[in-house]
Amino acid sequence: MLRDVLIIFRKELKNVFKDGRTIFAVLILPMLIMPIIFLVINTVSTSQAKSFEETVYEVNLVNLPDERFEGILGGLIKYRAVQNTDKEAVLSRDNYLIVEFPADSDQRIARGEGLDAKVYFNSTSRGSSYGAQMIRNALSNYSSLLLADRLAQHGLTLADLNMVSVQQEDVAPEESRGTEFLAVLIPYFLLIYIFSGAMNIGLDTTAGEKERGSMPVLLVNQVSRTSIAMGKILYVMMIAVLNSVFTFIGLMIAFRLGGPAFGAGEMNFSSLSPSTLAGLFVTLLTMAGLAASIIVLLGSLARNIKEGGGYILPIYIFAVVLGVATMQMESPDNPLLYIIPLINSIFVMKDIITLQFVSWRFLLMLLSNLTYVSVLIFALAKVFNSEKIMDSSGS
Amino acid sequence: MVEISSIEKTFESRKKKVKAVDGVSFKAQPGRIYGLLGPNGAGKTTTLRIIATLLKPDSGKAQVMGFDSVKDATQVRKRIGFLTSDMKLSGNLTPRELLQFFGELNHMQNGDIKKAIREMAEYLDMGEFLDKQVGKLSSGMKQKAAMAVSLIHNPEVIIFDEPTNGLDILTARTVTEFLKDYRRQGKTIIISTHIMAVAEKLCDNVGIIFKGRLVENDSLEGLYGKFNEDNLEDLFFKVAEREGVMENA
Repeated sequence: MLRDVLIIFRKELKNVFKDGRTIFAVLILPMLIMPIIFLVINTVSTSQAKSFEETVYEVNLVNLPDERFEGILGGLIKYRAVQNTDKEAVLSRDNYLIVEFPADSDQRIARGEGLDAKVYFNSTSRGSSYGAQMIRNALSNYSSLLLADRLAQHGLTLADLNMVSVQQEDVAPEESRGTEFLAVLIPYFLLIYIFSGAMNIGLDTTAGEKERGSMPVLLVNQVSRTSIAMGKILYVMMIAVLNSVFTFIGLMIAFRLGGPAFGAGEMNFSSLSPSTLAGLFVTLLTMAGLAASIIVLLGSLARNIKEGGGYILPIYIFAVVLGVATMQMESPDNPLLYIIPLINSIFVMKDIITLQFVSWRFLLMLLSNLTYVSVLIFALAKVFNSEKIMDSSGS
Repeated sequence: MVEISSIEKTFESRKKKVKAVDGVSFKAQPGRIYGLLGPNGAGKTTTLRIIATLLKPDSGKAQVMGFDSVKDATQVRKRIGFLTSDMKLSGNLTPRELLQFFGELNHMQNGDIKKAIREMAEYLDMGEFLDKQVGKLSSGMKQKAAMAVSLIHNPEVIIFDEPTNGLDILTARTVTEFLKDYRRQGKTIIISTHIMAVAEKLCDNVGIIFKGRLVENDSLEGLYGKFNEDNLEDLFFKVAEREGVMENA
């Protein structure tokens, strides 16, 4: 039987790898797309930040109480003080901002009262928002300065207000620190790419085969229909795994290129040791087996590619939603969650990436996924051995 | 030899129940071409698919060289070559690779597959395109490749559903010549068609099928004599009129 399964598998694989476009879509594109996206976003955000830093803002400081504020603001942005009080100009010019202090701010400071400062900016302009943020920072620093003045009159400093000093001690093993970002994104992307990689290929080898009229000719041979079904699953699974592995490589390159720009902080790639990668790969295999079995089964039930697409799309959307919903979640302890397909793989991958591998969770995931795949193969063999496999109609 | 006895097949869907084949019986002999004639939806394809083990009859029997199409499906598959004009060869494999694949599917030894490919390529004049991707071949070349694929294991029985449907005149000619040649080799051939000219040119025996029922089953000459006609098209319309099919057309 294995020999027959491999005949089908080899033929399908040969067909797909003789097509340059498919090789590009399955292997090269997943590896390139993430680094390109990260690189472009990184480059754009860096150049935009640089451009804001170099912008000379025109700031109208209305009722300025104290020249020290100008010094503080000058330390944060390049600016030129102007007298234009036209608030409409804030809307039309990205580099024009107004800071309005109360008319009696001098007296209020002298009396030790607080100030209400108004900042006029345009929230729809990134340049204006950046300038306003810098002004808010300057105002905060200025507020501290005024507070320090008042405390000094009583022989106190700002540090005297801090009654509790906090010292943090991270007890996480050094090798697992900085893996959170990887644990958020890697399971999500692998799940998505397993489905997207398997979808078209899985539909083409089932519903597509019906549409092209080649299914009957394939079935009238010495190879059992169960072997044909299993060969097709193995082929779709292989493509899904390749697609995901190349996506993973692309993600690693992307994180190295532009991860910190996405607020990822310092990322720790050392957690991805050979044993971690092996654990991830096994999880990936079972997840790919599951996705391939579902897609091949639904594709086989469809009469044409269009109908098959309609069957598979809700599953794909479900996988995307599942990926997003679990992104920020930590692996829970509830054993029930490790028998729910796809969710179990996501949590186990998180465990592996953050070096918090729990063997019972891994085993439960492995056993339940293998059980689901077996049930799906059984169902698929039933479909291939029934007349349902002959149902076809043009698209 | 293929023998069909009283086969019946009904397709059921949520909306309706359709009796596609209703008590069809006929015999196809070695060295002769049996043509199943009828309009679209008459039950020709269903009958051929039952013989080819793709569908199971609700009742009745289809036997290929003594093997039952349900109980001995594997033995039947070993002995038949099944082809349908619906099959559109596409993809990136070459005819040689496809022939190798179908040879393996039929559990042939590698040496035998290579030999069969050589012979088939020579017989069907495929040398020029044997190593070109099928997706890039002309329709005639594709048809030759498809025929080679279904015959790589040298079957005794050839079942061909609508052999010339949708083919240009040159490709259709290749197919008919090929079928005549296989008849000369003593193979049992069953075809289905709704094109009378094809049946007239090729078939030795003819079965006329309407709404799943085989209403005529005889040699071509026998039918001409019975209906006092000298062309199949007029004969076919006479039968259709008799069966009341013309009123519904």
